Amino acid sequence: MKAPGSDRDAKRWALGAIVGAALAIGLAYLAAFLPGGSPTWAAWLFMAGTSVMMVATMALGAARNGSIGRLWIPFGLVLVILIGGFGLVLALPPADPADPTLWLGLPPRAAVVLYGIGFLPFFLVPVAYAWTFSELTLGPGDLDRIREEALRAGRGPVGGERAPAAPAGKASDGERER
Amino acid sequence: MTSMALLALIARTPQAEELPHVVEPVIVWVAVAYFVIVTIIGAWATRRTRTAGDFFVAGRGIGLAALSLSVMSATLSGFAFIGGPGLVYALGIGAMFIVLPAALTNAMGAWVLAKRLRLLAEVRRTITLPDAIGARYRSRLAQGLSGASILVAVVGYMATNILALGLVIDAVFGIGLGWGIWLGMGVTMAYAVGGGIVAGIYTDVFQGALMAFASVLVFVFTLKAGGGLGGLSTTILSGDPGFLGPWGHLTPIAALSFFFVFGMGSLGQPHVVHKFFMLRDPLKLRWYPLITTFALIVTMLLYFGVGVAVKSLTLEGAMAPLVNPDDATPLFLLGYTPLILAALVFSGVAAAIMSTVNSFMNIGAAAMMHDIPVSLGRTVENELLWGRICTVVISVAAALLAQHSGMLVAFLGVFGWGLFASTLVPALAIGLNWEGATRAGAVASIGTGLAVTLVFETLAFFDLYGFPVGVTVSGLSLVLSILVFFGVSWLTRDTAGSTLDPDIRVIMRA
Repeated sequence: MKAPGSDRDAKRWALGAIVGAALAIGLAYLAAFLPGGSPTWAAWLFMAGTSVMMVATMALGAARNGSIGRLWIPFGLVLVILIGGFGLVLALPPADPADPTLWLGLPPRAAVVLYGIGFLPFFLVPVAYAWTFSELTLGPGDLDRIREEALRAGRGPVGGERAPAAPAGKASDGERER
Repeated sequence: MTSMALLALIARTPQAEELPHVVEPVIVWVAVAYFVIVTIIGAWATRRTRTAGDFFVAGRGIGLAALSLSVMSATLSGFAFIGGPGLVYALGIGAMFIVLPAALTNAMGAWVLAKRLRLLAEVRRTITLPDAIGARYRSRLAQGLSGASILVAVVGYMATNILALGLVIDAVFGIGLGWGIWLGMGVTMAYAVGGGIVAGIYTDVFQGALMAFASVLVFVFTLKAGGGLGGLSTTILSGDPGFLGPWGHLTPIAALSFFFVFGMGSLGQPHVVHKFFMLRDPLKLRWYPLITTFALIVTMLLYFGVGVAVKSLTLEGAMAPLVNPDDATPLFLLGYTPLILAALVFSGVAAAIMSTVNSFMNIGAAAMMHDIPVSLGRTVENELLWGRICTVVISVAAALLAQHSGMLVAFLGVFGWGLFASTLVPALAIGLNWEGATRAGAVASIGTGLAVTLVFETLAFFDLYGFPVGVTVSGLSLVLSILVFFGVSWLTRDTAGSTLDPDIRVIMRA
């Protein structure tokens, strides 16, 4: 069995994870229809499903030639932050109003939600995107190759018009109308 | 209809709850200056708009800063400045789950959609998202269905936003809600019709900068009013500890449902995603998530700060408890910030609403003029002229709906986000990244999103059926449309290869 980061497998794993996560979320919603309201496990299932789906969707989009390369590190960390953060919030006891401990001005569970789940991924995901962009998303050489291959490959009958086979980056029809 | 009858119709006050009136010379003059600047930008953009490509995708010629700020502006409607702080005041931390995925969503959109949509715009000259769906699946039906879904949601969304704009203009100028609606819609329509998305993008840049600046300043005043974040928390914990619980006054499932719908659903918001077509240099996408996410987080400070500060002030007895949570921002601004800052924020609110409305005008016009005719096998000759005409038609329809449809306008606004998400996320976002997706899967998922959203939102609106606490129609329709997309694509997997053109395959593998 190949590692998740290897060719072809990254997309397959991501797609499988999205389907699994969607089923988990659907099941959590269904559980809310049970007599007595939503059971505790439904919140855990929903939390895990949502976290996995968002990370898997990023991996699906980032996969190139079926691989996500070094991006497994930030994606893995974000998954840990989301599942760990939501898990902590579900597991920690409520704040005691008589003796409120504050983390950076907020009760612990609210701090985990806002600083951990809400803010911490900012230092991971957009930074990782910029950091790996040329290597794993789009480099100058890639752009010319993709333009050339796509224009050479032709087009189907619907969904926009094919651009003329002019050199990439030259003026389009719309631009020439000026 | 006589002109007097028309005036009476326009000036009729609809059902919406008014905001507190803030008619002060400083606020009025700042608002006037704001409208003048927007009009100047609109006039400049009109001179630059000469083709349908300019009108709908800014001639694929915008830079990184324009893309980032315009995405931020379009993402945040007036809800972020008025409804959002009110929701925080009412629900506590639970209301933050709407904006909590913001650190992830821009990068997710960049990886999943930005590069591929930009390349598609270059290779296929796509100008709309349904265009991209049509190209991906070689399907006029998928293009037409997604175009129709967008049109339905756009008119509803626009109506709610125009109503909100009317409320803000009435609060500032004291001219009555009916006139507020038509003045706001008129100014927005004037630059949208003339300058198309070029005007939209560059007014968004101005509006986004204004929103971010005002939000940071207001946040400083919220901390000052409550004795810092620790002071605010201590006051709230003593009076309403549940407010600062991890889910606020929501159930865990309801809060997580917000996170899911506003996280994954962000991939299906056409007024945001559509802007990826417009970037001049695709290599500049590198910095897009970082800049946009930073701008978004900064601008959301007001959303959190005002809601929490007003809650603390009401618990202290410094402010009376709010009858209408939407009053949180206006009352805080008038009571606790300098008048000039209040003036900037009121203009910022109008800015946020107008930037969202402008994007919807353009997208709705494109669906009406381009996608629906294409799905019927027809093409429009002069797309620029018809784009302008369709912009006027949609805008007037939305303004009339805002003014005269009673509670229907709230109903239409509710399902906008969910309808976009459930009809576009599977077919577009997943479909552009999975070669195994099929035309049948796309059509079935769009149909599922459309049907589930319309049926259950209608039943809920008329109190005929309601889901249990925590289950939202938008969340359920999104998850069902994703499952239907995968299920039908798997059942029809033999056709996957035949629905994929070679150039599209190249772009998907890029």
